[in-house]
Amino acid sequence: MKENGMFDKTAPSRTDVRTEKRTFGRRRGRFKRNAGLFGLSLPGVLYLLVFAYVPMFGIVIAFKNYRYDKGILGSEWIGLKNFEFLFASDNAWRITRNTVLYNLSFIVIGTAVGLALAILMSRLGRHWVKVHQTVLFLPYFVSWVVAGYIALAFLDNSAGFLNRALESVGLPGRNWYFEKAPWPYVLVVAHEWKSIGFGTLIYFAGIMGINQDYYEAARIDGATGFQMARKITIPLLMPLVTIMLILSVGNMFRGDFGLHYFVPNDSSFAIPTTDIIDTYVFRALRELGDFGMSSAAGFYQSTVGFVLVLLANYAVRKFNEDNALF
Amino acid sequence: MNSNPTETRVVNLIFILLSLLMLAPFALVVIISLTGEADLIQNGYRFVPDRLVFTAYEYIFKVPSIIVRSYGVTAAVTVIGTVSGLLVTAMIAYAISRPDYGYRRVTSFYVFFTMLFSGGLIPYYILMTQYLHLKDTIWAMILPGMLSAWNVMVLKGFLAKIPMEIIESAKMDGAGEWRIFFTVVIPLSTPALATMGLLIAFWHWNDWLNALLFIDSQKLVPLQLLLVRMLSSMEVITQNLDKFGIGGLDVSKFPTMSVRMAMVVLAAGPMMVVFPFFQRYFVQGLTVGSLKG
Amino acid sequence: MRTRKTTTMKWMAAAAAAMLLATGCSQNDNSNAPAASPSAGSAGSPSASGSPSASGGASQTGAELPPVDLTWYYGTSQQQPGQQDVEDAVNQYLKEHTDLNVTLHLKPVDFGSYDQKMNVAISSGEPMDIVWTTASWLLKYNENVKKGAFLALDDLLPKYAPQTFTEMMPERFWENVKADTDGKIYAIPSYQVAATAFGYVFQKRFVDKYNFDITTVKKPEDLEPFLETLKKNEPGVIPFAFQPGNNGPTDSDLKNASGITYEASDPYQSLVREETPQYKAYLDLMHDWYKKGYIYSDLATVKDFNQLTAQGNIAVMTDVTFKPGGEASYPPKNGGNEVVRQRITEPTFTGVTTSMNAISITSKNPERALMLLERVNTDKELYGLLSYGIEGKHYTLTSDGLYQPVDGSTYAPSIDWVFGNQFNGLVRPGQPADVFEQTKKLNEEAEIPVLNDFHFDDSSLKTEVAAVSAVRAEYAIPLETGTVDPAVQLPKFLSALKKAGIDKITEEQNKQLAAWATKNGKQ
Repeated sequence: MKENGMFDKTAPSRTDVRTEKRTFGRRRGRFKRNAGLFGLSLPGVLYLLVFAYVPMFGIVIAFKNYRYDKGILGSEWIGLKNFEFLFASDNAWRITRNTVLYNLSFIVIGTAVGLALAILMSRLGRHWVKVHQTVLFLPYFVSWVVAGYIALAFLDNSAGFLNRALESVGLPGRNWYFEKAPWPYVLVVAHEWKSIGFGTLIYFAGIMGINQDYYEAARIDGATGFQMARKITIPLLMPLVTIMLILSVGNMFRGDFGLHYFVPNDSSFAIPTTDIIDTYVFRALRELGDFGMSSAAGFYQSTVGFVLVLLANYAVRKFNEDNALF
Repeated sequence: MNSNPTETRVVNLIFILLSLLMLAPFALVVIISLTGEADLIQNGYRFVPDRLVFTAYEYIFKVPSIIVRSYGVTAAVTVIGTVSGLLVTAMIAYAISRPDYGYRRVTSFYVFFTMLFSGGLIPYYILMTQYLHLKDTIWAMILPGMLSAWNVMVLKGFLAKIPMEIIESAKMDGAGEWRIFFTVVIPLSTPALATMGLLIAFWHWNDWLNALLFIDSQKLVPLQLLLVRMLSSMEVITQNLDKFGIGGLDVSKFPTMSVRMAMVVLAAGPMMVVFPFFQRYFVQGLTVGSLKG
Repeated sequence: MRTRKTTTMKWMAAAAAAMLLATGCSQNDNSNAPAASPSAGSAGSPSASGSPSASGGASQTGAELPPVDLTWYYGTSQQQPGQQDVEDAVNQYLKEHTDLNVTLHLKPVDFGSYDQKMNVAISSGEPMDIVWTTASWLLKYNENVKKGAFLALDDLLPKYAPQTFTEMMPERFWENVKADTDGKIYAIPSYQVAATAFGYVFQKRFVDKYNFDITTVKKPEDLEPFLETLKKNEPGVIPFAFQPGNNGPTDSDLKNASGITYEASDPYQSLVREETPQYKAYLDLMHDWYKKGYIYSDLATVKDFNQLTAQGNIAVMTDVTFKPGGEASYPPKNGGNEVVRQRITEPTFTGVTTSMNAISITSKNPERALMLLERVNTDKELYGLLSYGIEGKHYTLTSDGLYQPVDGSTYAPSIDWVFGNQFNGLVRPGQPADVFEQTKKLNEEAEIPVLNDFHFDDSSLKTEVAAVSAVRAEYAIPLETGTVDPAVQLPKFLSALKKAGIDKITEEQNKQLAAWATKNGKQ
């Protein structure tokens, strides 16, 4: 990997950093060296301090019986009580399994399809790229509530297009909303439908950043399009793919509420195969509306995601340090 | 990239088929918005209605000031939010993409941590209203989306491709980090920046939660909130009609399905015009190739 | 690596410090809010309070009240373009006709976002004065009382809203407003329909055609012959359908009040509804009807029932409130078909808490807010302005004095029951002229359940309540619409309920019931 090699040469050697003594003067020297870049990062750092880190103290709500009149600190500390409802019934296993499996399939399918489409798209003329990119992105603007209506138009038992089509070729229609089996497929299709423009765009932008010379050289050697994709494009996109993967791993315990709630039309029959942590929390707390308990669910999702990311990042570091996230 | 014509034709065909598939559900939305309510009740959703009517759009534009103002709010939020957000995102993403930056790892971690953990809505709301006093101002919609950890991390991935030699040589010429960023890095990264700009713009265009939470004034309601109100209120109302006092509520006066779909079309439409603007910057291989010479 | 680690730690420490700082600030802020509570308020000195509305706007003899701004958050069906005009008119009226010295800021939030927006705002301690709340629908009253969102009004009501407190509705109805947790009053109800009955709605054309005597229907089973006839003779017509969840009672002996299910013969024994033989029998009946095709086949997944009724081909539906004059509301949403109704339960007092207005704990002027609500509940003109807008501009009165919104009215939210006493409002066309008298009579004559004054405090059982809610959301509708076979699904439902901890809830209910019964000398 030429590019990475290039970085290695210019990166400060690790021993430099390690031997740096923790003395004030040295440290000031280090800061001086980095002052310019630190300055560039400062607006973002401050922004996150104010908008992300300061409100983060609210995590304590997850451990409290939060009362509005007593305030966040004044409310009674109740330990892990708010977390119990997540594990109270035999739903715990089901929602965890569903959340993880859906995320895994979204990650695998989304990455594969996104990469494939981006590579194919890079072989089109600019005019067509514009047209297809725009079309692929259209569904991004359709909210899940509306996507739920559309799904109903296709899958409705009596009036849906799918059943009408089946009947017209002599096959019996099925009441899709009364079954649990079809929903994993429907949700994956719906998810890809809505997000594929997004994934394709990211990887397409990655391809745009690849040096043309590589392709020229390969073409002179008589490489086919497929070979070039396999030997040049995909390896050079790996850093980007890795980042996207690690970012997805962090959200492994989180799901898209709208997709899992509105697309199956909140059908009771679909719950066994569509219920994820986020929809369970919604259904369980619809009556109570308890912020302590919903914060607890969020904290649980974050913590698991955090551990997974640390593991993933560690693994990537072992393998190739430059692709690691931090 | 030049390739042989048959291959291009095959690839094009694949995309045309795919685009049609992607388009079909959206086309249905457009068609429902143009179908009369009586037709919808009698025949359900169809791709080919008996006839096309524009009553849904007429209904929305009956009081044009509301929707026109919403377009204005959304456009202002999107433009200001995208320009400022892209700048801040690019600055921090660039800093942590530089392998020689001493605080690279700690800053990356600092940024990434915010993607996973958040304090939830309550402390956020307290911050926005009681400390920053942003309630009922346009900034309550602009500031929240300025920087996201996800965007920074992805943009960092793109910017890491800029060869250090270029930066080193600029340094030799005596340029400071800020000058390098604005005169070397930005021009070199237009495809990446355009992509990120597009994503930030789309985020702002689609965001309604911040408006829902912080905006009371009818003058500052963005387009997506109008849509969300229409969609969510209908469900809440129809499931609770028994609670509506002595006379109940005449639901037949409420936005019909075609009006709701017309709102979807009106809310998504303008972004399709914005898309080509960003696409101008998706230029193949500019980053490295142009510098070798 | 050492260095880096310590640097990271440093960063964390800095962030933690920042958090502590922020927490400290907000703590101060939060503890300040309750301090600005009624006792500290200077505005409502008793001499000035009196009863401003009693004299119908005549000037007061006491000292003039200092000017205050009040905010009123409430749910609305749809944002009204004429909102500002109405707010201006209301303030003009308040200035000219009252001594309240109040500038009112109306904050209507559409029903769809009311819960989300208000939950966050209230739990963040946002300053507000009047807040609309409901028993079981949006911004739930008891849940918010439990979390300390509202101000207890017991001492303030007689002083600042005396007429509302004593004259608006029978005094015993206030029992119903008392909070589950501590038995205090935290809101003023908008007095309206307070008793409900359950019954069926029949399309008149079919009743006439088949000469069906609807008065023979006394229990669900009695519908069967009619449904059978419809199924046989009316292809394309749905014999029976209802909004999923609105099944009505499963058996006339199985009562439900104050969140407790009990046998009429033994009100002090809480039952799990799903475990009763009556529930099982009802599900069997529904499933039998479903198999015979009487019930709309896709009912279990219908979310927008109005879309289904709009086609006008449902022959029999349920009516869970049985409001007087309710027939008039059906034709517009029912394809224009007229209906007749038959109730199968006696009207029961179900409470005045459907729609209420509370005073926020963050209000700086709770006295004045109450005085305003008193005025709204007693002054027909002010109430009319809020509910219907400006006469001539937003609505007109027909020759019989009925409410008629003008064509394309910019203010017609149809939410008079949100603001206050609906009996001060206007009758709408189609309603019987004496609808208010009928409703009042219904309210006062309705049977009051034995457990009406009992309040179940479930704050120690949040885990179980949450888990049980999720289980019911999954199992109840397929069973209650007859879609699935109770022989198979009911045992699964019951086992899931047990795992979710339903027995713990029942046990606690029985404990509290016993204590309550002893205390009130009922047993």
